[in-house]
Amino acid sequence: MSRLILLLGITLLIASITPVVLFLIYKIRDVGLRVIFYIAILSLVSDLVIGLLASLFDVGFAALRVYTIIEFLLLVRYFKIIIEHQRTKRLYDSTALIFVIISMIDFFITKGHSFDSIPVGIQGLVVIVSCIYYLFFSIQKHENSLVHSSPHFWVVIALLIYFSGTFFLFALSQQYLKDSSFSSTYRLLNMIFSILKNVLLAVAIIVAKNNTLPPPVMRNATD
Amino acid sequence: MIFLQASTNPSNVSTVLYFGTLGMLVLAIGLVIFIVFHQRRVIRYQTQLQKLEEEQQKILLNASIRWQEEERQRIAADLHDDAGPLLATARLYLNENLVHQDINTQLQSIYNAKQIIDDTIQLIRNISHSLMPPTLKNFGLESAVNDLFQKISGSGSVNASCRFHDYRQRLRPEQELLIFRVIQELVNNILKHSGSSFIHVTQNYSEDKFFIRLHHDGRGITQNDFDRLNKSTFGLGLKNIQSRIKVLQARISFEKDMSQTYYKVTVEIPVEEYEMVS
Repeated sequence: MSRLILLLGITLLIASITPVVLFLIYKIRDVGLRVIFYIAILSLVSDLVIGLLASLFDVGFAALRVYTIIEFLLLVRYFKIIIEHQRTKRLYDSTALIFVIISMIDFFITKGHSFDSIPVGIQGLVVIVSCIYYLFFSIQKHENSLVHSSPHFWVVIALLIYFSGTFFLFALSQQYLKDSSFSSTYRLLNMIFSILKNVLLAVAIIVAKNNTLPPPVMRNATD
Repeated sequence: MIFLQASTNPSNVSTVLYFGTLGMLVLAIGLVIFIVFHQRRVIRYQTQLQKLEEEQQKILLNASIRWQEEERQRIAADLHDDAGPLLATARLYLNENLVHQDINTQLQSIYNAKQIIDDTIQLIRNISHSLMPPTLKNFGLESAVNDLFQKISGSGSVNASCRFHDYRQRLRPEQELLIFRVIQELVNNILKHSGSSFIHVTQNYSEDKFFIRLHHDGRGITQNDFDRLNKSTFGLGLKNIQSRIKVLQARISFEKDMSQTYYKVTVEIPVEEYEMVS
């Protein structure tokens, strides 16, 4: 089991670095993907730092709560960019404010000594609903081209699969994370879904790069 | 989340976790697959529609080219068969030997040649008028249609009449020409195929739409017949009508009247205020 965790850990590290590196190499200009780039960096940093903070200073959970709030704000920013409906954009501003307030209240109630299941659960629900909303409206928008030719489709799939897969995991973590078998399951499932998420984010960046390339005839003419 | 934690027995945690995770994953993946396949189906359907539209355009274009060629051949035949021999005959009367004839013969030859040239001028005028009626350009659609119907009624076989209820301001010249050609083609078809005894055209203008209604008591066609003929290689005249209707961005409908005694063709043309010319 520990070998599996180690292998998954290394895979997760490589998977986490891949979208960041690809974004920097391809110099993607898309504003929405830039926000995803920041989320990917935040996730990478938190995986390294929060573990360290947890083992050294016992402030891992507090740092995790801060990470959750920042991640949610970035996700809201991303959805505001990709969703075109004005009223929905305004709804996200109030959602972000309510989320921050709930996170603060949860922090004061739990004193920051446990997993933030409630804020993460709310985050998961908001992201899942936003993803479904985006998917349904993108099939109406992309009437003449395949929906999966857009990089944002792949980002939304990544977020949908990650937050769907980890919804129950995070919901139960506040109460059961201290249990050793649950903790192993938590690490295993979290790593698997994080790897999936990062692979799909890397696919999104490759699709974005391919969309900006000139058609093959033009490319040959300049060779 | 609170409910989930409070109601879950520690021993059932793994069950809830695995089944919950699996369920959510299945739902998410199912949704994605549904969306991808649904969109592919929509695109496939739209591609088919586009292909049908292109095929129809090709048929209309071929019909239009065939009609142009036929028209050219008809004009060429009229000029060659009628005008050509007339002018050749006139030339015969005016040959070099005329100067050696006596004065009476010369006068007679000149007079004959003049008659033939007059006939030729009238013939060419008729050909020209059939291509582009001057009444349409100078006096408008109502006068041109009246002229056309008077000529038809003059033949005695069909009673043709028209009534324009609301044509104080003329349409643009290109619109008038297209509408005139549509009426001309419809009337030609009625005269050729329907065996009707009367044709009546009315015009009115209502809610930014210009209506032309044509009634006749012969054998007509319905909308289904029109659509079917348009898709086939036959019905050249109807395809020309369809092309002109498309250019006008208008609608045409063929139906039998509720009383089942006559057929009606309605042409509905959208017209903006600024398109009317005084």
